[in-house]
Amino acid sequence: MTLSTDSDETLMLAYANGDIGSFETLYQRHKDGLYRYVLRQVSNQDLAHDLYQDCWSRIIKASGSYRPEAKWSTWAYRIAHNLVVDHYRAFKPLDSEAGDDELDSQTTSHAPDQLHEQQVLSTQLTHCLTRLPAVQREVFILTQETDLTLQMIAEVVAASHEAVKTRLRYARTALQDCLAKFGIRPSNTAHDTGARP
Amino acid sequence: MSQHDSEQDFLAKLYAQSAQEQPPAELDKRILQQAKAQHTHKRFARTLRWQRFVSVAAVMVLCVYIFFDMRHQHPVLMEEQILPQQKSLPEASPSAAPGEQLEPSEEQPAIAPTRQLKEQAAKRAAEPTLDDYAADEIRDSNTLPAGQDETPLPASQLFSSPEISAAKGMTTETNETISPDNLLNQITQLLKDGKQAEAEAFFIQLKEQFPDYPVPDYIASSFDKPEKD
Repeated sequence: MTLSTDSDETLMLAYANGDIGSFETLYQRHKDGLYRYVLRQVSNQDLAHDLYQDCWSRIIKASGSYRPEAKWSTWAYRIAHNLVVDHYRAFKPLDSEAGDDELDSQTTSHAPDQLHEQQVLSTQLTHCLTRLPAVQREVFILTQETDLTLQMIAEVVAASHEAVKTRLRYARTALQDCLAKFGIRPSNTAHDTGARP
Repeated sequence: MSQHDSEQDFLAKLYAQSAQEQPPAELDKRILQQAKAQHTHKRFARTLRWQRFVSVAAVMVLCVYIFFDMRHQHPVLMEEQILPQQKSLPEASPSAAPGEQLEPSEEQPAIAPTRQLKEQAAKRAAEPTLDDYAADEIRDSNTLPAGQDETPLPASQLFSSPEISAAKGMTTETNETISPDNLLNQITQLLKDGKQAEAEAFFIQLKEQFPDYPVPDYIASSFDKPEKD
């Protein structure tokens, strides 16, 4: 049995029928993307760990009633989305963004001459992501972490296809503007534009 | 490649470089353990459900078997246990008082109802056959030592006698030649002599060989007495 080549849906059904190896394969495929999705939505590592584990718990418990009516990724990210939304509904507003002061302090603390070029780029992108509105950030992360189409992403975030398209466009524009503040522009390659002038 | 596409690629590359976070190994382990535990729990639940069905089916089969086995081996007992109300109902033709058993009453019909006879025959179906009683008769007349009382053996001893089966073959032909009138006379004579068990044996023989032969009620009722107790 070639579990690694089976689809996510097949693996999930195999796990529901008692094949634990299928679940391990499925987990290895999606653990990083799902983890980063949750982590970048909440920007808190401990909370992200809790939500991430809770998400997989729900997936495990729902395995018995799972029906492959939609793509497995859509189903799984929908669970994660609901968990994040429920958390913020219960504790704090979803669009809590870092202020400009925090941005300045973070960029100052990571001086380009002290860190590797790629690390600087990563830090700056991560920071720019945190400044995005939550709905735009979520759509952008889903496009980067998954192979879902815009229509599938619309199902995950419970929005229309057009709304997702708009959010993604705004997110890209905002990220480019944010990165431009650090002198990072698309015309430059990644390895030679990392440092601030 | 357009400006828009190059911007998308740029962001994608940048994001790919920054997206290095992974869940801690401890968290992975915990989640996989949970998945295994859930799998084990499901398998156990499936097994338990299967065992429950088998247990219920086994109990039902056992109950049915015991019911039919009891009904086959102890039909009278089963009737008394299952249909106590029917037993307590007054019978259509009450039997005569003990002192009047041998004398036919003018008020009572001379012939017992067919239904009553059928019931009696069914109740005695599980008891030793007529051949057994007849064989016992012959055995007693042939092998009884001189001076020994001719009182018939109790029913339990009759049933358990090892000579019954040996005598069976001898008596079959003899019984077939007996007419119902002769049997009735014998029964009457035995009842007068107080030999209730022997009379009952002949009465059963009469009922089996000549089920439609009318039997006087005073004779039939004399064998109902033990059942009413």
